[in-house]
Formats: sequence, structure tokens, C-alpha cells
Amino acid sequence: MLGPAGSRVTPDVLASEVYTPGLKGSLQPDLLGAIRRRGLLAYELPPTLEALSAELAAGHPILVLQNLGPVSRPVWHYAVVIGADASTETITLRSGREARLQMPTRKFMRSWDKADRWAVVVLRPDEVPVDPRRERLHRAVLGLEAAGRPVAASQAWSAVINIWPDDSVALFGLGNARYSLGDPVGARAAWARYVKLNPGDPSGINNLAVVLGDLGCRNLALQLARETLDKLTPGDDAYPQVLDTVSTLESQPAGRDPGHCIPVGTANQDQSGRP
Amino acid sequence: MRGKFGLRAITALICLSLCSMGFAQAAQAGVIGTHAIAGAEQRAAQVERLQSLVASEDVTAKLVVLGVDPEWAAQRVASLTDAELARLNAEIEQMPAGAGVVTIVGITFIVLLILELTGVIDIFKKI
Repeated sequence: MLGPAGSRVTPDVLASEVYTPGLKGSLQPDLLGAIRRRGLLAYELPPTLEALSAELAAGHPILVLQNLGPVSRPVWHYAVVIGADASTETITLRSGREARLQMPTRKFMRSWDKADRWAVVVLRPDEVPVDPRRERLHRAVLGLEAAGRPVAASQAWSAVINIWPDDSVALFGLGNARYSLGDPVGARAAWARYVKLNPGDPSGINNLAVVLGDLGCRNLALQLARETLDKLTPGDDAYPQVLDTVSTLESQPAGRDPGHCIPVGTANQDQSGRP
Repeated sequence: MRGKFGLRAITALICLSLCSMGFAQAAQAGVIGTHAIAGAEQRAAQVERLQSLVASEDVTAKLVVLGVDPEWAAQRVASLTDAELARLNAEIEQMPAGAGVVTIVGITFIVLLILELTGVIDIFKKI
């Protein structure tokens, strides 16, 4: 499970990343950020013991937040769950200096309840949780996009598409990841498929038009963008972006589109979004 | 009063670095980010986006006030989604920060924990 950027990290750097001196601790989002910056997927698990057990069975350790004090005077504590034994009703944790702290499941559940049952599993970007929930998975991958890790995001969106071939968010995201990686052909394929599934969404057409313009298909791109702009009013969310795309395309030199410039719906696309 | 002024001054300083980041992103291309279509309602996503522009500056400033190195504060903020930023901005004072130095272990533990989770240290070998 060695992260691509994770091998060269020093404790000093990591402390700057996650430790907040004024709080004498680490905020949950900062831990998520540290995981994402290493190109790894931070998936927040559904708040059930079953979800924890399923991930443990798959060999994935889980970061949890506990409150070891009373609700009125919380004592926040991060730990890593490394085992759950239903027969003896014990949870095994890496906790503080304890490499293997055994805790009755009931006691663990009380401390976890008081911390809103926060649990995160760290996965390679091409891996998915044992029982993936679509919106949770979207949030995890959006985190990779936010952290500027397009290689990991591209792998993760592809993994989402493997589970749900028509997942619009993943297709849109795959297009963005490929585009920022300098793969306009791949981006076009993903966005074309998105537009086919969501013909009325101006965001998809905008991005498709941008990449078609980059690929030399100015006329086709301009036609798509203009048609979309005509249906929008200045109050619409996508309006400024589509307007910008139209004017950018208009400023490019006119001429005949090359032969590969084919309208959406006529191109052959496979499930992965590749042409 | 004094605290608020301090926060403003720091916000202004941090704006320098954040603003340049914004330009870099805008200049990249006219494509729309995935966050805009990922929300249940696009309108909500757009509103969130606007709030997050404000939130990113606010959160960065708040982290700096809490003793985080300014450069790292900006880095941390840049690794969050719009929704996370908005929540952090609203709740940073109340949010749990686990493993306080006084209460349990502290920084060494958190660092070890992340090293383990991201695979630099093999977590199962130590058992």
C-alpha cells in the first residue's frame, strides 16, 4: 500500500501538514488532506460496525475518531482499528503508544458514538470499498481532484465507472482528470459519453466544446456551444462559462474541421469512455 | 477587536498566495470542475462554490492564527472540497481535534498514524 508520494515524507513535514498547535491536535479535514496529497483515496465509511468489519476483512486498516471523555467534556482521540472479533466481542486498535489495544466492542462503540462514528478507510486510488456507496465514493474522489492529484483521480473515477458504467459524475470527473493530464482525446471520450447521458446539461457541453476546440474541431465545438448558449439566460449557473467558451472559439481561425470531428452520438465509445 | 484586526491583516497577506492560485486555475482552461455537477442540486453546488472562495481565505487565516505555518495553511485548504471548506469555516472552533498533547499523546502519535495509514510504515507488521 505504498503511496506514490508517500515514501519520501519526513515526520517534520507531516507534522506541518496535520498538526494545529492552537488546537493541540489535528482536524479531521486536515487528516483527509494529508491522505489525498499522497494520491490515496480517503473514503468516509458509513457509520456501522458492519462497515468497519467488512473493510477489516478485506485487509484495510481504518482511521477512527473516538471521544474518550464524557459528552460534556470531550477527550478527542484518533486511533486505527486493526481488528474486530465478533465471537469475543473485542475491537483491536493501534492507539497512542499501544500497538495492540484490545477493547470490548461495547466500550469502543460508546467512544465512537460520542464522536459521531467518524471512520475513514485509506485505499489505493484504483481500489474501491467493499460495499461502495455512490455518493460517499464521489466525495472521496472529488477530494483527490480538489487536492490536485489528477492521476489518482483518473484511476479512481475509472474504478467508479467499472462499478456503475453510466455514472455521470464519474464520467464528468474522468474527463476533467484526463484533460488536466494533457489527454484531450481521452477527455473528449469521457465527456461525449456524459453528454449522451445528460443531453440537457450545459456543463457537459461546455467542457466537450472546449476540448473539441483544442482538438481542432472549431466548427463543431462552436455549433454545440452556441446552441447551448441560446438555451441559457444570463442568470443560469453555466452561462458565464459557456459565453466564455463561445467567444474563445470565435477568436480561433475559421476553416474546415478535420475528419475526426464527429458529432456526439455517432462516435463509437466503449464503457470506459475511450473511443 | 484586536483579534479581528489581526485576522484581517493575515487574510490580506494570505490573499496574495491564494489569488495567484486562483488565476492559475482559471487560466488553465474554460472547463467546469466536477464539483459543479456532483451536488444533488447544481444550484446548491454553485452557491457552495462562491462561499468556498470566501471560506478558503477565512479558514487559511484561522489556521494561521492557530499556529499553522502560513504556507502549509494554504496547502491544507487547497486539499479540501468546497463542502468540507464551508463546514470547516463554520465549525473550526467547535470541531474535534483528536489527540491533544495534554490529554493523550500528541503530535508524534498523529504523525505515526498517518505514516502507517499511507503505507510508509506497514501497519500490520508491527502487531
